[in-house]
Amino acid sequence: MIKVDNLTVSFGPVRAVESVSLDVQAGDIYAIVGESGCGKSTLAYALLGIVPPPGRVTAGEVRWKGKSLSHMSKSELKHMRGAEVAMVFQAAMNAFSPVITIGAHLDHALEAHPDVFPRRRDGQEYFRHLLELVRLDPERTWRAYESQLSGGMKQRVAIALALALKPSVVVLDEPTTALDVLNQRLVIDILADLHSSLGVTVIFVTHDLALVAELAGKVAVMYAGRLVEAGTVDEVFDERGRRHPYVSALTAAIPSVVGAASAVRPVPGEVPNLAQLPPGCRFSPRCAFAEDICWVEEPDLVPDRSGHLVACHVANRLVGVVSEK
Amino acid sequence: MRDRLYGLKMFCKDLWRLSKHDKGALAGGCVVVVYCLVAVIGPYVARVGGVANPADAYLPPSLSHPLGTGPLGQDVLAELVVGTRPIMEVGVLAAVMTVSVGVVVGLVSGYLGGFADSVLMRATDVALTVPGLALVIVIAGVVRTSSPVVLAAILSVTGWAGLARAVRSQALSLRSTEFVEAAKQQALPLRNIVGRQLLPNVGPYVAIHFLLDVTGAIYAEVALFLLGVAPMSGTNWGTMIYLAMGQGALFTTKSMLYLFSPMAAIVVLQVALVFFTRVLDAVFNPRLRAQ
Amino acid sequence: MRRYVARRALASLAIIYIVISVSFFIVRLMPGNPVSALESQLSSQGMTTQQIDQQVNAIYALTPRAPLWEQYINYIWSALRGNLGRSITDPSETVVHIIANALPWTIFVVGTALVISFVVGVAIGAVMAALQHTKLVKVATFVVSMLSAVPNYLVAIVLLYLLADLHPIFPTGAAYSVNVTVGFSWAFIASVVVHAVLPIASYVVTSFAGWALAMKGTAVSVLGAEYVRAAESRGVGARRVTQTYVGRNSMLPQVTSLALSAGFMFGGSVLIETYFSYPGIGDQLGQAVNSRDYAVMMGCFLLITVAVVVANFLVDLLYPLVDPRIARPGGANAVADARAEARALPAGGSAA
Repeated sequence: MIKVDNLTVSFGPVRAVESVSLDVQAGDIYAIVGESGCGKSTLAYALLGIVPPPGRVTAGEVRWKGKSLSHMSKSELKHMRGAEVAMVFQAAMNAFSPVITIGAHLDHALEAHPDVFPRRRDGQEYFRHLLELVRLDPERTWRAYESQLSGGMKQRVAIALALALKPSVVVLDEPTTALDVLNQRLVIDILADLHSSLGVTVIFVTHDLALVAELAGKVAVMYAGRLVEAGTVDEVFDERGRRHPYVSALTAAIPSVVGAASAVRPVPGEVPNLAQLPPGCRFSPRCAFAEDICWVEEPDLVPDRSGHLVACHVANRLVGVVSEK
Repeated sequence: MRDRLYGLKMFCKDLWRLSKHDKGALAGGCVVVVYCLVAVIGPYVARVGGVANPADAYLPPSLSHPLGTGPLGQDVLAELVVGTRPIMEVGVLAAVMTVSVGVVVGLVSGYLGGFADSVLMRATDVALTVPGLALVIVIAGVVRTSSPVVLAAILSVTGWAGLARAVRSQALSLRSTEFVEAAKQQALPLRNIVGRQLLPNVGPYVAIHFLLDVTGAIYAEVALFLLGVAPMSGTNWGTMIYLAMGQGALFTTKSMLYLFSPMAAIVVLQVALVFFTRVLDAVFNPRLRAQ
Repeated sequence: MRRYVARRALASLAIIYIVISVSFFIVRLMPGNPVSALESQLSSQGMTTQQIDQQVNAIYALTPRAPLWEQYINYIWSALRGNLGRSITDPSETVVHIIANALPWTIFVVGTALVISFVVGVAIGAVMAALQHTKLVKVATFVVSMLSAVPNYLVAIVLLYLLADLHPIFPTGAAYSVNVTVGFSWAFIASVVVHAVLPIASYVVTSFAGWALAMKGTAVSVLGAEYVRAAESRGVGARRVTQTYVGRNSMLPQVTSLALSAGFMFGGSVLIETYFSYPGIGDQLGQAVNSRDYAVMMGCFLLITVAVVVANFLVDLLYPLVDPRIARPGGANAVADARAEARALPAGGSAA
């Protein structure tokens, strides 16, 4: 449904997203994972074509059902946003105008897409139904102003609002990050529910691996603007399989509830400054397995038979997969 | 102590770096400095007073009188230079008073809360609503003073309120944070809490407010002089304009320089101060730097 | 909503009461106060105590020999009943009469100036924000910043010089021409308008700049706000986004500052009306100060304050239309603080 083809998004000289390619199929629950600042949020915005200036797409394209976003007319884009692809922003704290009611937000969305619900009342009814699905009181929420809602409530309203126009794809930026544990559980349950009952394709961006393990079917891992691994959740989380060292380190960094506290091993080092990238593999300064070639040459994404992609000289060599070069 | 100096050094570096981008602000800063210098050394360099010679009234500009002469034959430029100090003195003094009162009221009100807070907040509300300049004129009209200090005090009668509010909200938000709780537990003196937590947060705001207060005070004091309400002896820009207007300077082209030079002096200073606050704003508010 | 209105009304009345008390303090209690001065002056003229009392009462609506608290109550009571004393320079005129003749002119000029400055300033500010990164806007920001720092009474002098004196396009003073009879005729209205142009311009030239800068600042930050992008992500049309998401949120702080601006302008009226010989309340105050007519002075100040308080109250009534949160019980606090913030840092040069 959504195909990202060699996309590069730049903010001036800095490339927040570089040569990223993804393929999201209908019905997927697709996770995009990475640390803060790795470009995953920018990638999410690019999926809807709303990268904030001064960011611009400088190479590649995003294709929605085969049609490139850059070739779409303004009205086509407008129609796509909301009615076909919707977004839930990170920490919906500020995602609502403080001076209008929640209901008003919905009305504006309905007004912009008269083809989805020709009768405004049907749209409002549907939204109320969605509010119930996200475990909120429809009447009170409809009339409320954003200042009357808690963070968790706002996040759920944002989800409901995103689904209000019956989009086929929902993109969520860090849906659980700003929430306390209870609300996190709630949102996870809601997302799983909505996926199974409404059949929406879900794409979410996060740095929480546990969330990925629980919810996602497919994963793409980003590091410093580049895609370093992509595949199904099973493939990526398989400790014995071919993996990018970054992913191994991430999973090893998760403290175990039963293990000793001393067994926690955080990933050493820091995310590189995107304006001053090291030559060769971007992860090499922090990589335990780095070899000479890693410092010199950027690894390509290499697929295996099932389509599992890894971009690492060492990992690919170890498993005997030879790059196309 | 050392980290205060370091902070100051960083601040100056930031200031310099940003000033280079914003030419207007840099110019503003320089102009302000020039005015300060003139205010301080002016009276020693230029001479005013002496014998009035009406025969020399309103001479055109010449080498000995670069800006011409006034209605009594006095050198306009000399009067302008000498007239700088009284205006700036009162302006700065008034701003200092305004800021002091504002910060103290805000701190007391925010930190102590309770009855003191309610009373002070009432007072602040009144000070915010009452038309400041009108009140200043009335008080100055009743208390005919020639002392700069008293004048400065009158000028700051309502200006402190806005700052008090802002400082108060800072104090309120900090009062309930863990810093203060922890500090109290460690029995750290109030000084420490105020100095370390409060002031750095309000500092930028206070600095900008100070400069704007100077502009406000100058606006108000010149207004008083123009009305003839604050008869400070001696020359200053305000009395120059007052005398000029009184002498019908508006209706003769000869007197243009005498009338417009002090006006220009005032406007240039005000504009410079405002421009300078913009760069200060950018230094303190990193979000604005992107612009 | 009703509670909100009631609260604001109460606050307004409280302020008026406090101002009357301050007036009492200035007139009666301060060192060197006018009443004592008058008393000693009259007694040196050889009047009896009774005569002195009578005089003082007529002029200041005060009974000097009564106990202090009684004086205070009487003063306030008289003020509320509309007795503000008499003019010293012309004892046949009551203060109220003088003010009643003068106030409408000031309200006309200041009100018009306020509206024009606001509308023009906010519009320009919005445009400046929309075109932020262009060279034109950078220049405009520079110019507008300069204008915002210029004192409005100096602008009055310049306008007077250029457009009334050097080139007699506009009249040099008064509210209307001597040749015109008062009444609802076109000639009269035209004359009034022509005479009001320069005074209004004096306010507007510097005032609109303040609004423009403030609006630009607000609009720029609103344009970058997440709820704007969230709305765009839902495909909400550009016009709707600009109007409701950007527009309303940017207007909020401006409406807040509206009341503050009214107070400032009334203050400036003293000088501007003096220069234009415009018979408003500012002019009266200026004259009273110069002739030491303290009763008129205090009366003018009181009425100016009342006018400002009323203006504040009207803005308070207007506010919930733009920001529905304030009329609600919980929302009022956060919004009140936001309003105080807006009042705290006026855009350049208007701290008075």
